[in-house]
Formats: sequence, C-alpha cells, structure tokens
Amino acid sequence: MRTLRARGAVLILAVLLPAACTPAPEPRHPVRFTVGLHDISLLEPEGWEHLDHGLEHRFHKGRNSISVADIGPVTRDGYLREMNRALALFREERLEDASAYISSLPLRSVLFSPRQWDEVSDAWYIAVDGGLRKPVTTNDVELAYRDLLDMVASRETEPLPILVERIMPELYFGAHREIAEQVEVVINDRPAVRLETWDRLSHDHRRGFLLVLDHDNLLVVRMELGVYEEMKPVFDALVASLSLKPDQGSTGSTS
Amino acid sequence: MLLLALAGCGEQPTEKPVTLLPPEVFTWTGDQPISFAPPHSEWERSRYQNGGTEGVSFVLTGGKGQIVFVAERFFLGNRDRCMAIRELMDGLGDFNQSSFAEALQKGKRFEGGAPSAQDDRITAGINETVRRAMDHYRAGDMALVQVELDRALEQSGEIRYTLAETVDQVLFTAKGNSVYPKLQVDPPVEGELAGEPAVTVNFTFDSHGTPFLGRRVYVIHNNRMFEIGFQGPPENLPLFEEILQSITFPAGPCEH
Repeated sequence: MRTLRARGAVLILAVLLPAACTPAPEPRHPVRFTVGLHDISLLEPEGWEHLDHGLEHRFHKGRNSISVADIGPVTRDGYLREMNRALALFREERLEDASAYISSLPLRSVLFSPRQWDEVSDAWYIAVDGGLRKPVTTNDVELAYRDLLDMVASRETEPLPILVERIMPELYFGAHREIAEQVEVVINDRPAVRLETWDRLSHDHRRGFLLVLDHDNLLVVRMELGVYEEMKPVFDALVASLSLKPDQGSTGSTS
Repeated sequence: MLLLALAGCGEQPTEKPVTLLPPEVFTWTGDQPISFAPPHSEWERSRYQNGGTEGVSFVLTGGKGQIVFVAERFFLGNRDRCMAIRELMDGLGDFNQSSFAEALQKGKRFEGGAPSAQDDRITAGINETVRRAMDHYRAGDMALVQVELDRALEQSGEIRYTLAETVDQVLFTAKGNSVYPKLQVDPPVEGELAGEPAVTVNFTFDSHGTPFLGRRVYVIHNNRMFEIGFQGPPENLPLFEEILQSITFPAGPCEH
C-alpha cells in the first residue's frame, strides 16, 4: 500500500512539475486607438485581424467580422459643433469644403421631423449654396448660418433609447429585421444601449450591437457578416473590455 | 432489479414526451402578434414566404422534408390601414405637405379585389374619408383632419372577415397542389384554435417513398388570417398538435 501511494505521488509530481516550469502566458494588454472622435481601449480578439479604416475599425477572422465605427453626431450639441466647423470653413473662404461638410452630415432625419426640416432647410440651402450657386452676399450667408445654428440650438435631444429606435432602422435594417432585445448600460459614464436584432419573420440570424453616446457622436460596435454563434463570445469579450477616454466636455456651443 | 424487470414487462414503450421551446411572439404583415412555442433546435428554423404567406418554418434535420410552419396569409392583413392612420394621427404635427400626402396615401385601402362584399362597400367610404382629410390639410384645418382620420379608423373597424367567406381563396386543395405525389385530400373540417373558429384540411402524400401526413389549419384573429401547417409521419403529429395548443394572440396595436 505504501509503495502504491509513493508511486502515485511520484506520478502526480511528474505530471505537475513540467506544468509548473512552463512560463505563465503573458497577460494580454488592451490596445488603444481612435475611431472618429472616440478614444478607445479594448482587448483585441486573439487571432483576429485588426483593420483600420479611419472612421471604422474592423476585427476580422475567416467569415466573421466585428466593426467599431463612429457614425457621427446624434445630439443637438453634436450638430452645433459640426455646423460651427462648417461656418469656420466658410469664413476661411473654403466655400466648397463648407458646403460638402454640411451636406455629408448623416442622420438629419433622426434630429428633425419633416416639418422642422422645412423650417431649417431654407437657411440650410442658403448656407450650403452661399457663394457657390446663388448670387448672395457674404453677409447673407453669415446670417443663414446663424439662423441654422439657432434652429438647431432650439432642438431638444431625445434620450438615447429613443434615438436608437430611429437610427437602427435607418442605418442597419429595413423592414426585414427588428430589435429582439435591448438594454440600457453605462460605459465609462457614457449612456449606452446594448441590443440584438433578428430576422422579423423567423427570429433567427441574430446580430449584436453596442451603441455608446460619446462626445455627442454615436460609437457603434456591431457584428457584421458571419456566424452569430461564433461571433457572440468574441463580441461579448470585446464589449466587456471596451473603455473610453474620459470626456473633456462638449464643444457644441454656438460661436 | 425488480423495478427494472417490471419496467421491461410493459407491453407498450412509453411515448417520448414532446418538448417545445418557450413561447415567442412574432409579428408579421398585419401587425397582429401571434405567440407559440417553437419546436427544439433539431427543427431548423427559417423564413417562410410561400405564395401569399409570411412566417416561419421549422424543417426537421434529416427528416426527408418534415416541416412545421406558422404563417400569416397576408391577403387580409395587408388590406388593413389602421396602423398607417394611427401613425398619421400620432405625428400630425411633424409632417410637411409632401410627407403628409405620402403618409395619407398609405392610409388608403386597395380598391377592387376585396375578399368580402362588406369590405368592398366600406373601402370606398374609407378612401373618400381619407381624401377629405387631405383637402382639410391643404386648407390648414387640422381639427377637421383629425375628425376625418378618426372617422376612417371607425369605418375600418366595421370590417369583419369570417373564415366562411374568405378561406376558400387559400384552402389547400388537390387541384392546387398537384406536385405532391399520390396526394389525397380530405374535405375541410371546422373546429377551433386559440378560441377562434378554425378550418382544418388533412391530406396524405408520398415523400421519397415514405407515406406522410399533411395538415393545414386556418384561423382568423382580429381580421388577420393565419395558416399553420405540418407535413411528416404520424409520430411527429403530437409535436404539431402541441404547437397548435400553444398558440395565443396577444393584443395588437389595432383591435377590430
């Protein structure tokens, strides 16, 4: 019996010793990068390629893909900030740049109803076209920008869950998908919504999303093409590791 | 040992109990939700869009064509404009003239091809009411726009479809399904599903050399028709019946 025990102990030691001698794997360090206005740190999924496309970063492995993107301003202050930038371009006499800058702002319908848009659009088009196609004076364009900024400043920004209800169908699905579940979360003091979409008819083909309001722009982390079951644990780990640099304050004041 | 021996002496093996997933609520064409407990993952789910239906199907993996589906027959549901009119009323202050005209157009019903004489008669009245709403909108009289939209909703609520007058248009028949080998279709049987009158059609056919049973159940709830179907061997019929038992109709945004 003693011999058997001794032999057992030797066997256990023989199994354990090599394991003890193997160096522990290096702890993984988060990577830090910028997407649009968002200063992000997260743990990259192991074995996934990290592609930097500027306003969108993509993590890619085989048929699966997860993206991290800045989709632009979604609040009153965000729009004011961007329109003030356009006004600054106009004042530098970069008229075409100012026009292109305003015209490229996304998600206008999220902020304005058609009736409000009618009120804004006259000022908008004078500001955008000022000096390019219409014979208007510099002062007219300055005034048009002022009108535009005043109208945007009078808008109230809806809470994030309501914005999300409008943004999701406009950007990420049409009539064939719907939100399966949605929960409000907070990431580094920023309001955020975590949700999953699915096929409206069959309730399959799920896709995960995280939407974070940061610097008045919306950061969207989402599952793109791929197999949900394979992406889900990777997406969850990526979202759990996500951290944003502390807010320096909004720049959305009229100048 | 004694227990095992006694169990072995039973004449009939106990039937495998049917297990279903927790109920899910689906909303398809007509905004009327339907809730039911789907079969487990061995039955692969996918979109079901087959000749005037929208819904979900479950195909048994390796089952040689065994299928269960639950779908809406949208020829009734897509006639209803209740949701479009409600959205108009809710956002009345947000429209401009062109977006109001566009939204109002969605509030009009299809004229012609109505599935019942009552629908045919009332549809003309609803569209006239909606046209008047546009006139009032152009004149800037929002109070009268509201009155007309209320009236359109009220008129819409008067339409009631019954299975007796509508089901023949979609009923499973031998003539309409000649691709099924050795198809034998029984006459329709009246019954009940989820507290509503229902019509059931049973049939048999040959699926790759295996005799299969088929069943279609038609039911109308809140002016929307649903069709629930099964094709497979008799041993899977209890699963289909459990799914039928689990069906309920949660309240929709537009009740008739």
